[in-house]
Amino acid sequence: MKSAKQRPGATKINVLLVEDNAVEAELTKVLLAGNSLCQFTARVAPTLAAALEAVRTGPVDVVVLDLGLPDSFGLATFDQLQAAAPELPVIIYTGLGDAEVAVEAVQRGAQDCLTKGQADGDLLARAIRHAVERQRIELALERERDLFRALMENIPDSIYFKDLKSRFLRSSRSQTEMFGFKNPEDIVGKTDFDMFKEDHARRAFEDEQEIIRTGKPLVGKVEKETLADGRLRWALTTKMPFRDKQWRIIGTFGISKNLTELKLMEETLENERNHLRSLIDALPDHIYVKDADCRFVLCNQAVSRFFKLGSPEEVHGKSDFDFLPRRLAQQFHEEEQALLRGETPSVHRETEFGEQDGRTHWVITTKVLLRDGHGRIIGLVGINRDITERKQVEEQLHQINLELARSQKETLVANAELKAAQTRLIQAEKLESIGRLAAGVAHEVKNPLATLLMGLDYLAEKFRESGEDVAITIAEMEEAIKRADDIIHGLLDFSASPQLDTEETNLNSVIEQSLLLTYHELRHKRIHVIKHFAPDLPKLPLDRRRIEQVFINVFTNAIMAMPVDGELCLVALAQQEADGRVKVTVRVEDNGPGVPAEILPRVFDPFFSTKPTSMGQGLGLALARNILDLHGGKIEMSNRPEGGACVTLTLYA
Amino acid sequence: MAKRRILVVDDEVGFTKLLKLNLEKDGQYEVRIENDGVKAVDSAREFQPDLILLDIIMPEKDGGEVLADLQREPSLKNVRVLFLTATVSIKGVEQRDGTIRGMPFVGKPVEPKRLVKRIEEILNS
Repeated sequence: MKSAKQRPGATKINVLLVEDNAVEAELTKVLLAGNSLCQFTARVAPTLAAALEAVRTGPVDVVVLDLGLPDSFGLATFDQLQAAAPELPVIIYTGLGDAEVAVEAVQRGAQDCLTKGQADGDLLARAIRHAVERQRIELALERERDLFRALMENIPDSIYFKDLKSRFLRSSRSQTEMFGFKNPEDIVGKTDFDMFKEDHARRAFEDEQEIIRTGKPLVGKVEKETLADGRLRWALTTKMPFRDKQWRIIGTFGISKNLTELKLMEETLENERNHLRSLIDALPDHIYVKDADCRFVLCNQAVSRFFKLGSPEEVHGKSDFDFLPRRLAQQFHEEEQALLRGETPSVHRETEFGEQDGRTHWVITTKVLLRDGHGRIIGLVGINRDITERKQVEEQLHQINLELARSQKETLVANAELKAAQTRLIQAEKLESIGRLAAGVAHEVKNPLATLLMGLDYLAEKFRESGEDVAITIAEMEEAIKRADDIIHGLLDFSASPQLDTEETNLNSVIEQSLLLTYHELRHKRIHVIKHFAPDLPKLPLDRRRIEQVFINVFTNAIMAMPVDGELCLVALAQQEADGRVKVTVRVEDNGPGVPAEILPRVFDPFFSTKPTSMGQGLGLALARNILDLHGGKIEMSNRPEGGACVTLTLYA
Repeated sequence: MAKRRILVVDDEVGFTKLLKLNLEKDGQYEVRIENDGVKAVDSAREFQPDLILLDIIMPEKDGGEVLADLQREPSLKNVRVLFLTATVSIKGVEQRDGTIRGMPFVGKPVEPKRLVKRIEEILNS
């Protein structure tokens, strides 16, 4: 080998001569120096201790070792040195008698052994160089082996080598254990048919034979494998042709990554996704995702059905403007843009959702922002719930409520009317019994009065000449009879038939007529009449003649109370009652002295009068009250703050 | 001129006596009294009055029944009748058509002068 010398810049080999014999050492140095193969630098260590020190400090490429040293002898010397520098090549260089020990040393790792005195320079140099070379190769090989072993022993992926018949040559530990074997050697010679179910083994075999035939690798194939014991396994497999130095295919090798967990996770994920999708599609609510431009990214089937699309996928890239009336789409767009700007959250908002199938749809919408992994807003997720049914029910409820309120009002009115009718009925019954009584009394009283009047008249004729006293007496007696007759008449009026003869009547005209009928009294006292009649008074169901009687009585009463040149003020107005009825009120105000508080409660009692007996029977106001009662109305008297009395009459339309 | 015959049918005995006195005092009328409604038609048939003053409310037979019987009697069919009554429904009647069963009436109590005036009106009509 001439490589060391020929190679420019090749370094000298540093040789450590461990030799206690100085002459021997010097001789060896000379031998080395005189060789023709390569250059050496030699150092000498006379003892093992010196050798160990030299090895520690270096540089030493190779040790030429004499086993017999002052501080060590035989194999122990080699052992100690090797322990101190295991990678350093050692050549045993010893005397003739030590041949057996030298052989033993070579077995323990020494590179070579030479016998002193038998080697010339070139032989020694070659031996040393070979030792160094061999040691280097061995170390390199060992390193390669270590790397390969590390791979085969530790990588969790399955790694294998197979021959041309797909029989295992080598198998990684992970694969060995997966197959249920303890040592990789146990698998050698076996095939996939021993390890997997038939169908997978067959496919794998065919794949490998294809690789062998074509030389094309199989890369990244996902395989579903069933092991011999039934276990399921997913793997990502790459298989390559296995070639020798001559590039001939001598088999296959491959690596297979276990994807089972990943695959199961993926399956689980896929299942969950499907479940979620089914759930979302099964929901009647509209669920959708829109991008930052408010274009649909995806939606569920409820949305695609509502938009009359074939499938949810068709919605992609479209917007509300493609489906909804422009006004509505614009409204949603603005709302969503506001949401995307972070201005207004849109939660549980009730919105009219346009017409479909001839009816107005209503939805509750909730829209929330959609963000990416960095928190940036990328769109929105929305849910619309159709609440049309609820809205219709609400509307129906509202109508029913209105109807209820209306019928309640009607009931109230009917109740009021019923009550009024009842009051009238009771009043009528009362009046009827009074009337029957009055009629009986009247008949029984009138006959004696008639007899008295007849008699008095006859006497008056007879005693015409008997003087003034007699004439006065008879006149007074006649007057008394008339008064008694008037009272009877009043009583009969008061208890007249409770049957009303009503018709729709203009109250103003009744009042005017009553004023006409009291014209003489008014004129006699020069009473000034002021009228404030509301122009829009409704017609009232009245017994015209009797209401006239009422006003005549009230006016007469007021006129009697007033001084000459008095002022009678009449006010008539209408207003709507809470129960819906229209109430008409007439106030008759005089500027007389008013009514003493203590007698106010009694002014409507029959036969109650403050006037002199000759001016009335005290039945006028009582009769007025009866007639008002029969009409379901009211009559009240009060004193005006500015003086005078006020009679208030109330009637209902 | 012959006296006019007036039959007074009324159960009020005192009243009929005084009425007779008053009507006969000037010699204008011949007055006959019948205080029993049941006998009224007999009395009338016998008396043949020019006018009957007829009370309404009487025991046993009231004025309405008497009038009906009178109108069934051929000799009395055309006799004039003036109701003279204390009955209470007069005012109601007045407002209807001013007559009772088509006959005029005067309410009690009444002054003799006014009654005579009404009698004359009827007899001369």
